[in-house]
Amino acid sequence: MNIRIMGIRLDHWLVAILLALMALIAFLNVLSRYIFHFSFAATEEITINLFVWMTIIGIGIAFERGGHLGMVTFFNRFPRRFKKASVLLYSLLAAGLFLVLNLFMIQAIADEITLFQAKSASLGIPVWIYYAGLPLLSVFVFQGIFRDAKNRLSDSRDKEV
Amino acid sequence: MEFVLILALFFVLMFIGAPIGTSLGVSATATIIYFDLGAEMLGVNFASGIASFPLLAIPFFVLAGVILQRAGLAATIAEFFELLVGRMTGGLSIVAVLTCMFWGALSGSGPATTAAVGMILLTPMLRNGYGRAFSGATIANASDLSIIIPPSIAFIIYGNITSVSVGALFVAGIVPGLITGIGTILVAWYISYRRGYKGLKQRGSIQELARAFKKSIWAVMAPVVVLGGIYTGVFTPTEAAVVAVFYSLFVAALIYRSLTWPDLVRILVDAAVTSSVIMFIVVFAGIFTWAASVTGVIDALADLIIRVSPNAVVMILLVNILLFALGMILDAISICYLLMPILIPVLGNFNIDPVYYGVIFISALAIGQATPPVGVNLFTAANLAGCEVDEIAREAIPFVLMDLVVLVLLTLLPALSLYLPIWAGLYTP
Repeated sequence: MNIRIMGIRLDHWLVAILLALMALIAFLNVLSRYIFHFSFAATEEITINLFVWMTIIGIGIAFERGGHLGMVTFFNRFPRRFKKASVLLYSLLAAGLFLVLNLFMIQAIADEITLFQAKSASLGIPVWIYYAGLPLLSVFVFQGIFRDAKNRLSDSRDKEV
Repeated sequence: MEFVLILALFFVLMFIGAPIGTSLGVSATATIIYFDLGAEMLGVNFASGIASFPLLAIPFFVLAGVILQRAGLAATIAEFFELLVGRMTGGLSIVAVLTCMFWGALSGSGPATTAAVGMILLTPMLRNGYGRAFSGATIANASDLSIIIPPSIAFIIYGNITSVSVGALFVAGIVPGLITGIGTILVAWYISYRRGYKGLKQRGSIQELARAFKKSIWAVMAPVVVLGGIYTGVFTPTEAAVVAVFYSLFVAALIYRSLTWPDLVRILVDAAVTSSVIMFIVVFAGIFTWAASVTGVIDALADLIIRVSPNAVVMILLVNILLFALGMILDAISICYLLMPILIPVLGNFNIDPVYYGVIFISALAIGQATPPVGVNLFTAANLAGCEVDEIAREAIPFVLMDLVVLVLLTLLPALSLYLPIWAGLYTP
């Protein structure tokens, strides 16, 4: 169920493009300030919000790769069935955690659109646009948590391509 | 009551092997919701915990490191050091330490350094008769240096929590990093001498050395550009990080010609994921700390530390013991987030300089990275060397003892950390 563009997964494209954009904007900022003595520091706001979006997708891919840090000292000594129960429990909790974050974020977005209509400090972009990244991109987090749990429960790690 | 819930949940989740970020996030969120501490802000706080300009240095430094690694720069540097000191007793182990120190000045993470240097030097070390566990232990311990030698992700995090200038912290880490590096070389040399690990036979001619130097000069310039920029106050650490990205890209694509477009996408993905692994912990540790401070557990613990410590030295010692204990179950970043909010009022109470303390704190954490059972560097090294973590941990003991001696030195002589940043005008205590 991976969507691929030119042989590369959609989520991989997205993180790569987000990181590249962040680096590019930040670099142009440095250049313009020190070489042309002209600052468009306001774009800093875009960079840090792209960073939020990138991190959400990255967290998802890291889940799928089983790459998040944890303490395995005790886990490795558990009997098999207890291991599986643990994986199931903490994967559900992780999914629940992101579900809760998203529910509150969607509430915040709704409030922003209808009530507060706050604009970002330096570019005047409605803040809910930045907020929308969490609910939209969390799809990759849930996908990652699901695949990580599936891999661990079936004792075989599907090779990520 | 709140605080029993938050700590108990956290430790139970850690115990069953949940990722640290999940454990921090779930226990904090449960506490916040259950005791109604302002849950409606959770979504927004998640976003604002990441959206910080100083933290932006993390993905950029990670990216620069991945680019240079894919460009094969570690091999070039190792080759240069091999020609320079390879003939000494224990030559290759010294080459390994020097390469790790150097790599630490390019990247800010211990396990990344272990992997980069281990992949290049383990095979030649084994082929030349060095013990498997000794080789792994040398590289794992020398890689600790990468979180003391700037640029360092640990310092970025420390600066973010304590609001101390990251530039000043970076510069403060230079001398302590060099001292620890020299100490590591001495230990590696002494053990090699005792066990008869000989140097390499062939000697590098001056011409060869010059050629290797010319080849590695571009790599050598990278930390000069980055640190020089921060040192002279031209760049902030985040700007220096992005300059490092484009410098690495320039070197990899145009000088070494070892980069293709598909490579670039893979590099970007890997760097983004590595940085997200760190940020996953950072963001939930932030929410955890917020919840913990509302429950009052932070003030209570700070009070306790102040009450049981008669003076600053005892306090530093006590906290170091705590750091070792926590270092057994947690990674450096989580410990930073869990302990620093408690320690900030304690530092104020004892008039301890936060930059000086930053160097001590991070050095103690670095030791933890090479101490079992969690020592992330040890695991990476054990994997690469193909031996048990226990064997490597045993070989690591002399290195850890040396690290402890250096830690005492750094504690007793604040000038080792503070002289450079003050002299450079980056910091006034």
